[in-house]
Amino acid sequence: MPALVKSSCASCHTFAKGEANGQGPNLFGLIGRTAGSAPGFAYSTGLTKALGGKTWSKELLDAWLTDTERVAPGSLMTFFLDDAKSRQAIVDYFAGQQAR
Amino acid sequence: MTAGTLGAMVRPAAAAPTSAPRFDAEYDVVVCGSGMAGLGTALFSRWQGNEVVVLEKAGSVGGTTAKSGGWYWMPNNAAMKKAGIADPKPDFMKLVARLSAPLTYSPSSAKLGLSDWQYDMFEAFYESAGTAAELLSDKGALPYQHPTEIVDYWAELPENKAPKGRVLMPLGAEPYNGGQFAIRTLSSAARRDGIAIKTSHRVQGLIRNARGEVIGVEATTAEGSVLRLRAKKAVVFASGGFTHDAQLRRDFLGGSVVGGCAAPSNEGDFLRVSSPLGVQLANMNHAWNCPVVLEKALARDGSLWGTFSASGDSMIYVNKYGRRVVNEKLQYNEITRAFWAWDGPRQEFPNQLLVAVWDQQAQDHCAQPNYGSFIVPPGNNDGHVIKGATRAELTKNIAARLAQYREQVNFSLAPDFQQNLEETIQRFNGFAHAGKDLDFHRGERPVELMFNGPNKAGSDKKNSTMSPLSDQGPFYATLIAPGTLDTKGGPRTDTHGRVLDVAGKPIAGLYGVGNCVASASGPAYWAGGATLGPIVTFAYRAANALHKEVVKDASA
Repeated sequence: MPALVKSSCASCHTFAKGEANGQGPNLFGLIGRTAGSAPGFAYSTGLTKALGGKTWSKELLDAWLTDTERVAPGSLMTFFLDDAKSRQAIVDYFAGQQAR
Repeated sequence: MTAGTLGAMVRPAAAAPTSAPRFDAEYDVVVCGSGMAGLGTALFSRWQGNEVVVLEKAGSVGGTTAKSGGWYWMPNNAAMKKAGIADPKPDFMKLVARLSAPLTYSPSSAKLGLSDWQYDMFEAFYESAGTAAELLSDKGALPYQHPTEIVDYWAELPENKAPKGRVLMPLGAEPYNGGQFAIRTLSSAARRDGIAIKTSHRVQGLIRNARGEVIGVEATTAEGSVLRLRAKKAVVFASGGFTHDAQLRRDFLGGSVVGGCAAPSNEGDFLRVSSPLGVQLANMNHAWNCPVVLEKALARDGSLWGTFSASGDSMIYVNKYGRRVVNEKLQYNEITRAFWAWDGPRQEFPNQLLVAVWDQQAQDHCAQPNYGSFIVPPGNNDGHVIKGATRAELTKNIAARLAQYREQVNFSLAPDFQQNLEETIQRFNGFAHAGKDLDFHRGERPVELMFNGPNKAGSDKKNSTMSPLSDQGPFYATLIAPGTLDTKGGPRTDTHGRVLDVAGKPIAGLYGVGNCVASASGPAYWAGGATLGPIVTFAYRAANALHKEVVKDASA
């Protein structure tokens, strides 16, 4: 896993298939998954309202990582990253994970 | 208390410049860390007109605060006054003195048996806590609720005149997710008010002028480039403790600690960065202790939570000999110390790990998905749970699981584990029937009831924390180990957050707030929120002091 992904996501999320949810939901197979659907995870109403039922695409993930508060006001995940190149690296990791 | 420098671990700091240093950017205040301490100090500074940047080593903001319950324990706060809850200062000072200086506490002495430093720090905490909380709330940076059902960890002590009321919690939060609320509102306010927040910026060096004043930092970015950022007034460290540095844990913490639930980025950076400046270390031997599920800690599961609420009534902890050694419901900081009992003749820590054992009744009725509970509801990952149809099979499976970790942990069950476990359960069951734990007094203190977790509805037990363990399987177990939610030692600061050198003088331009600096609380964990309470308070006090700093000469 790229260091940037680890340092950006791993204090709240797990990555491997079947791993327990943390402060955030398990992220295995994120791209292509329905938002707000990780089993056993209690999502905030902010997230469910804005994203519930949508599918995680590379574009949606990029917007999400730019500023979670703008995409889903009231979501409990606070993350923002202005640098497009860094965001791309994170998005690419999850897209590649799906391809594997 | 330890004082001195960390000779062995000094890394070269940025050398004092010989000519005018070049900077990539200039600010009045450079803050390192984006948990409550960092964002708090940044906001309080910004509101006084300073240009502020927050540098965060991790890719995400929030540090350990984001993983916490977000409670902050604030003596004599405005909500208490409104609710008519008195919190007189003399009693408050006695309460914290009794807990933080158990060896020397003397209620009739002027300083109550505290060191001058502790006394001054506690007094500053009492005086400023309420003001700091109101300012954060008024500015929309940390609106709070006042959950008066939350009880102090030492509600029963005569010195505690306000056993309920000091705890504030972020508005809208549940008791287990307040930290996420806090980081959301704090970081939103910071961005709203023009504070620059840069993630993936790790500060590994301080820049000083010829007079030795701190005038900036060197920060390494995600791509590996090094930026030099000037701090005209002050550099504030708010970078957390050393929970995730195994060497520092072994060197400075007294007992065995396998890891913990601080943010993974808490690797003792400030100790390394500040050592070349001759800082005075204090309280290095203490941490905010909490038991952790061994296997999650060893896997360095970044999302780990400490076992803050050990739920389960038909549940006991036993050591390698199958014996109970502690009140399982004792709050987390205190129960962790039970792991460190030393058996001299045997040359071992018999409680190095404790094995939680429970039955189907507890599994059915006491599971909870949060608070770090190891009894988890169906659908949640239970890879840490060891199962057995009988107690014999459970014992065999515990031994097998331990064998998997033998190279990391020198611990195995004694040959008579199961036999003793049977006796232990019979004895415990007697206590459960009677409602009285004659060995460890389980469930007799208010805090133990608060953290007891769910129970079977409608039960009329005499003691809600205890129920007999069934003789019928299946049985369940997990391995519990001592951990930290973070450490509480580091450079000593004064009551304004100024970092002190070995002679006790402030190092010009250098401030510290939170778990990266020494906590005056010593071994004590006063109450829920005794971590973030002083952090909010000293963020406020540090910001007030550094606002008055003169602009340091960057060419000298």
